[in-house]
Amino acid sequence: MISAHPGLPEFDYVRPATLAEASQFLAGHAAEARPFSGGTDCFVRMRDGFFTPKYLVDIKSLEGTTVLSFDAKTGLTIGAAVPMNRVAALPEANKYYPVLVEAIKSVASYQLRNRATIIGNICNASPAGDTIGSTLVYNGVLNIHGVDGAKKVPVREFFTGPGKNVLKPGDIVLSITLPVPPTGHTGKYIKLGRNRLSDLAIVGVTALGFKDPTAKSGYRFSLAVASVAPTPYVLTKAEEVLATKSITAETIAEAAQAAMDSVTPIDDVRGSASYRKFMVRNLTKRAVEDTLKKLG
Amino acid sequence: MSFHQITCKVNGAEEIVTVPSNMTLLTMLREVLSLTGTKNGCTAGECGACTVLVDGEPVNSCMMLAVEAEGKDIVTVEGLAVDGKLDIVQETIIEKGGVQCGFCTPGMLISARALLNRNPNPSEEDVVEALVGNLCRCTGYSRIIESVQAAAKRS
Amino acid sequence: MAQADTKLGTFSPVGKSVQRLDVLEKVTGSAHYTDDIPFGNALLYGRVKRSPVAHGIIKRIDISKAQALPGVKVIVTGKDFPNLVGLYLKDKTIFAIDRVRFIGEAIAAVAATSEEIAEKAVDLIEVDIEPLPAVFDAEFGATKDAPLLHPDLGNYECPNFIFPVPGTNIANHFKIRKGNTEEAFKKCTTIIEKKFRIPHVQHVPIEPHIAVAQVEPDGDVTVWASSQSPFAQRNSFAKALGISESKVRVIAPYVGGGFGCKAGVTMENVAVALASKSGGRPVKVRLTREEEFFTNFVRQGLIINLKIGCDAEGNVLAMENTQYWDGGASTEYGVNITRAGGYNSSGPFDIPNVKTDAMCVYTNHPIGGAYRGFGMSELHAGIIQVMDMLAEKIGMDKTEFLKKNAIQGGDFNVTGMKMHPVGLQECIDVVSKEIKMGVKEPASAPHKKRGKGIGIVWKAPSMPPNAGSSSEVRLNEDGSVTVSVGGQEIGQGTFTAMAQIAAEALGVSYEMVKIEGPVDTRYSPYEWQTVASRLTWSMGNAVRRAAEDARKNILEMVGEAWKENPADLDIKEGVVISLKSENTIPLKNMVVYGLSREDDKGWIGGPVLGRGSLCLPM
Repeated sequence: MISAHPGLPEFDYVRPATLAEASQFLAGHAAEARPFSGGTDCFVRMRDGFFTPKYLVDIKSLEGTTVLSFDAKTGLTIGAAVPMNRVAALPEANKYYPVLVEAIKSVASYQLRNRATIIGNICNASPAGDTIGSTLVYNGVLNIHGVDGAKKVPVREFFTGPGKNVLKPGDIVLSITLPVPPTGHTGKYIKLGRNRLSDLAIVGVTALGFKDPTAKSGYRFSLAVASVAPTPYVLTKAEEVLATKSITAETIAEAAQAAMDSVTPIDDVRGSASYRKFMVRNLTKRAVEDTLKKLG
Repeated sequence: MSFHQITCKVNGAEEIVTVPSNMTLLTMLREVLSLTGTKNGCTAGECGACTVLVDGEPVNSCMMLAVEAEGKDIVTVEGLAVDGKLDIVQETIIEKGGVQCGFCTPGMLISARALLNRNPNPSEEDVVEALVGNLCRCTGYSRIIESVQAAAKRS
Repeated sequence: MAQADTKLGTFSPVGKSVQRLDVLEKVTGSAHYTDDIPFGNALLYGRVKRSPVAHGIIKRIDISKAQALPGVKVIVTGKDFPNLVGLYLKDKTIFAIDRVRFIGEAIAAVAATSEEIAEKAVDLIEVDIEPLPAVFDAEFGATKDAPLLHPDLGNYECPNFIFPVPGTNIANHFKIRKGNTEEAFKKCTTIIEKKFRIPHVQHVPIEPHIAVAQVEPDGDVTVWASSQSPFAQRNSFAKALGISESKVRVIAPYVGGGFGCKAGVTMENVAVALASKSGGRPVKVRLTREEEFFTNFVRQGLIINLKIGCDAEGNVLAMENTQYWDGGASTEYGVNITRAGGYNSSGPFDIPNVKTDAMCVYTNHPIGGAYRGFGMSELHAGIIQVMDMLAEKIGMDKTEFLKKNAIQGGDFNVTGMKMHPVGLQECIDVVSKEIKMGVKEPASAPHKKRGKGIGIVWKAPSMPPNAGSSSEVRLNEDGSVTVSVGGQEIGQGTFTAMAQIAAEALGVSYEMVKIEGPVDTRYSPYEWQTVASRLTWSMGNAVRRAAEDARKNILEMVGEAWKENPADLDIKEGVVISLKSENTIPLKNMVVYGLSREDDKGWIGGPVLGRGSLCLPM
C-alpha cells in the first residue's frame, strides 16, 4: 500500500488486570501483541501499516503505571500511564526537574500531551523524542516488569538503535524514576523545529548544569541531543571539555565543536545532515550559555 | 476482532455502546452516537478538528480508542451550549469574526473552553499555546485568539 | 437552511458588519458538511486502488481476490469508464486505463458495506505495472528528449482558447508577441536575466474531499459533494457517464475550505462510477489527509525564465517571459492557469515590447488545479523581484521605478486592450506613505530584521465571457425573504453578503432574509462556479436584480391597489409607504395572497417572485 489506511486495522483490545497476566500475555504472543499507553505514536504507525499487532494491550490500569510522586530521597517517579501534561503540572516537577518540564511543553500540542507519555516516548526509542534527552541528563532509571519479575534499566542503557530498545517479549515498563538532581542545578531544552511549536525536532539539545567543586572547571554539564544519531545521544566529549577546562567563550566553542563532530545525523524531509550538524554546534553553545547565565 | 460494551457519559447523558476494538472515539461519536459536530481532518492527531473533552481535558478523539471511553465523561461541541444558551467562547468567536468555513471551529471551541477552565486569565501566549493543536486554514488565527481573550475577560 | 439571528433589525445593511448567517450552526456543531449527512444502512463506502509508480504501463489487474471478500459489492476499473473528461481539456479518464501517469492515480475502486472492508479489498487487488521513464521537471518535459506522456494529445477536445502542441508534452502554449523584443533589448542599458522556481503547494482544506453518489434505476444521478462548483460538476458527471445534464443532480452542503481545490471534478467521479454499478445504493468516498496531499489538486509548480531590460532613465523597454507550468499528469484545469500566466505575463507594467511563451507541461507529478490567485502569485514572484533588481542596478529608487513603469489608464496591455483608469500610481503613493517607505524602522525583536518593499500585482481572471449568475427572491407570508442562489458558502461569507444585498435592494432588514441552502442544482438557480473572487460582484448583482424585480412587482401591485403611481411608493424597513398619500402596508400576507381592490371590487397580485441574472454581453 502506498498511503495510510483511513482507519485502524483490525485487532483485539486487551486489558489484563494484573502485571503477571500482562507479562505472560505479551510473552505468549510475542510477535503479535504490543503494549500501549497513550497510543499517539502507535495508532499512527498502525494506520501506516508499519505496526500490525493482533493484540493491543492496554497497560494503563496495571499496578505501578499510574504513579506520579516525588520523594525527597528517591526523586520523581512517573508511571507509564501518566500523560505528559500531568507531569508538567506537578509543582515538584517544576521545582526539581525544570528541564524535563520545558521539554514536555515543546511536544506536539496540548491535546496530544493529554495522551502522550514520557515512557511511551522512551519505549518508541525515536531518535527525535523531545523528552528523552531530559531523562538522560537526569539519569533516569526505568522500572520494568517482565515474565521473570521486576528489573531496572538506566535510560542510558536502554536504546539499541532507531526504534529499538533492550525490552524482551513480556517486558512492560511501569515507570521511570529520576533521582533527585544536584542542588542548584538548572538547564535548558532547545528544540529546533520548522515552526515555533508542535513540529518534530530537527535537532533538540538538552543541557543540565550545576556547580561542582570536584570538577576542574567548577561546573558539570550533562548534554543530550535528539535527531542526530540512530539513538538519542549523549554528548560525552562536549561534557568532558566543559568539566575539565575553565569555562570561557573558547571552551564553550570547543565543547560545541566537539558536539558537532561527534554526531552522525542523516538527511531527511526536515533537514539535511550538514544543517543538523551546524545546528548541534550552535544550539549546544546557546544551551550551555543559557544554563551558565542562570547558574550565575 | 473483539467487541466491547462500554458505558460512558456524553454531554451529560449516559450512553451504553458496543464498539469494535479498532473503532476510534471519533468514529463512535460521529457514526454510533450521531454527534457529527466533531470533525475528522486527518486521523493522525495533527489538525485538532476532532478535539473533545475527556474528563475535562481536551483530547484528539481520533487518537483514542472508543473502548477507552469506558467510565469517562465526554463533552463535544454539541454539549457546550446549555439549555440553548451559548457558552461564552461560542459568543465571542461569533462576535470577533473567528468563524469562516467552520470546520476547525468545534475543535477550537473545545480547546478554548478547556483553557479557560484551567486558566481563567490566560496571556496571549497561553492562548496560542493552548490552540497550537487546532489548525485553521481560513482565518489566520488572530480573530480566534482575540475571541478567547475576550471570553476570558467576560467570564 | 441558513437564517439570520433576529435581534435588532439591521437596516441598510450593506456597509455594516452584521452577524454571519451561518455562524450559529457552525459554533453549535449543527452545520452539515457532506460527511455529516445520514444515509442509512444502505450506504456503501468506496476506496481506491492507486498506482505506486509515477509512470508505467498497466500489464495486469486482478480483482478476483477482492471480489471474493464478503461485504464487497462493486469493483470498477478503467475499462468500465473510457470517456475522456476535463474542464478545459478533456485529457483524463476516471481511472487509468492502459497506463498510469502519477503516483496515487486511481486504477480501480471498491464499494463495500464498510470503509474498512473496502480498504481490505483494495489491498487484495493485484496490479502489475511496467515502469516507464518519468518526467519530474516541467522545463525538461517541454523538450524533445522528454518521454511523451500523452501521445493522444492531438485528439483531446478543448475550447478554442487552449493551444495544445500534439507530439509533445505541451498541453497549452500561450504566446504573446508585442512589439519587437530583440530590437528593444539592444536599446536597453541594463538587462537582468533570472530563473525562478516556484514549488507545488497543496491547499490543505481542513475538510478533505468527499462525495456521496447515488444512481437511480432510471439512470438519474444524485451527488452530494464538498464542492465549489456544483453546476460545473453536474456537467462533468454527465459527460463522464455519457448522459444528459438534467439527469444529474448535485447537492453541495457547507464546504470546510476550498481555496480552489474543490472547484472542478476530481475524486467525485469515483463515487459516481461506483454508484453507477451499486444497484441504487449510495456510495460515499472520502479522501484521507495523506491522499489529499498527493492524489488530488495542487497548485502547479512554475519554472519562469525572465529577461527584463530598461534604459538609463529607468523605462522598462522589453521583457521576455518563458513559463514552464508543471501541469502534472492531467492538465484539464491547469491549461487555463497557464493561459492566465500568459495574458498577465507583463505584470501590471506598461512594457512596449513583450515576448511571452507560457507553457503548460505534462509531468508525472500530482495534478495542477485552481488555487487562490490562479497563477498570479507564482507569476509575479519573479517579475517583482527582477523589477527591484533593475532599479537597484541603475541606482534608482525602487518605488519610483515601480511608479514609472506601472500601467495607467490609456496604456495598452500585452493583449492589445486599452486600460481603463486604474489609479495604480496613486495606490503606490498611498502605500509608500503608510509604511513610511525609505524610513528605517527597528525590528520587532532583537533576533529579527525589518525590511520594506512594495510589490504590485494584477489579475485578469480566466473566466469565460459567459460565466453567468442567477438568483430568485421569494417573499413569505411573515414578510421574510427567501433568496436562492447557486454559489457556495465555503467560508468566505457569501451567504451573508447576499443577504445584505437582497435586504438593501428590497428594503427589508437583514434579519428578515434567508439564503436557501444547501445549493442543489435541481432547485437552485445557475451559478457558473464559486471561484475567482467573483461572487460578490457577479452573484451579488444577480441577487440585487432579483430583489429589485421583486420590489418592482410589489410596488406595482400596491400601486394598482391604492391607485397610485409606483414611482411614488417605496419599501422601507419591510413596509411599503407612499411618499404622496402616506399610506403604509407591511410586507406580510399580501406578498403571497395579494391585495383586494378598493371597495373589495376584485383582487390584485399574488405570490411575489423576483428574478435576476448577470451575464454581461460582450
